[in-house]
Amino acid sequence: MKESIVKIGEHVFHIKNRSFLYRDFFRHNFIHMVDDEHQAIHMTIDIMTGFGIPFLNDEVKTTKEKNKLIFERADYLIEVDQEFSHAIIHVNNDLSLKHALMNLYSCFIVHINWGLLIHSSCVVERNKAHIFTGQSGAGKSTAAQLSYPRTLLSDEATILKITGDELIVFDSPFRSEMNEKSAKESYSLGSIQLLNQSVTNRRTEVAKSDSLLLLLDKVFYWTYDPEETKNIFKLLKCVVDNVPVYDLHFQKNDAFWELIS
Amino acid sequence: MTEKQVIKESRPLVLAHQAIRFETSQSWNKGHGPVSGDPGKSDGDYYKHDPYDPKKTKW
Repeated sequence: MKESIVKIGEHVFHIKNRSFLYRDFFRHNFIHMVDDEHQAIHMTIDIMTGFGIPFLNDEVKTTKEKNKLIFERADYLIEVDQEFSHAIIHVNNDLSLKHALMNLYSCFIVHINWGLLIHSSCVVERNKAHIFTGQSGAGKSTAAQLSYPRTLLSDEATILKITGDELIVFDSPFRSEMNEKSAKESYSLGSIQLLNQSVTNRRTEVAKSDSLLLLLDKVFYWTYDPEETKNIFKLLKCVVDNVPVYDLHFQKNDAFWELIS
Repeated sequence: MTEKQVIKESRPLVLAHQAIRFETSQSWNKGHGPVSGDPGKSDGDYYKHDPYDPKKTKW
C-alpha cells in the first residue's frame, strides 16, 4: 500500500492508496507534505480500485445515512463520515478518481464553511488572482492559455477560501489540460469575469444581485443537505460583496488583460 | 371575480419554480491527462477516455 500526505488548499489529507495504479496521479498533480507525526490531518482517504464501469454520465446519487454520506456515480463511490474525517473512495480509473476527489473536497470545504470550488480558470496578474468563468465553451481554458506566462492557479476548478473580508485563491490540483508546476503561494482574489466570445473586447460590471445568481451554477457541489445549500448562498454573497464581477466580451488574444489590469 | 378572490391575488405570486442547480458536470472537459504512466508531456497519448473533443477546435 502506498501512503502519502497531500495538501489541497489549506487542508492536509492522508491518502492510503491500495493500488500502485494511481501513484503517478498523486505524484504529478498534488503538493506533497513530509510525513510528520505532528502534522494535523484533516481527513484520511482510502482509495480502492476495481469499482463500477468507466465514465457513463455525471449523475451522482447521494444518500445520507445515520453516520455517513454516500455519493455514487457509475464510475465512483464515496463513503464519508458526517464529520468528514475519514473517507473511502472506490474508483474505476484516473478520471473517476479526479472527479471523486473534487466531489469530496467540495463537500468538505462547504461543510466546514471554509470556501467554494468554482468551475473556472484563475490567473495571477500583479499579485492578484482573477477568475474566468462561463458556460461550457465560453473560453475558460482559452483565457487561461492566452494568459501565459502569467501564473495559472486553475484551468477548471478554482479553490476559493472565503472569510469575512478576504477572498484567497489556492493552487488547484484538479486540472484539465495544462501540466504546470503547482503555485505554492496563494493570492487575494481581484475580480471575477463571466466570459463571452466576441469580436471586440469589452468589460462591464454586473450588479451584485445578478452576479450571485449567475455564479450559483458555477459552484461544483453535490447536494446532500438543504442546510449546506444555505451555506453556499452565504459564502457566495460574501464573494459578490467583496469583489467586482464583470461581463467580459473578449477576442481570441490576450488584449483583454488591458481591461483587467 | 369576487372580492375575496381579488384579495387572494393581491398577495405576491410565485410565477415559476426553478430548482437550485450546482455544477456537477465537469466531465465535458475530460482533458488530455495526465494519467498514470504519463509523465505529462505525451499530449494525451496515454489518455484512455474517448472520445476526446478538444475545446480548441470550437474556436
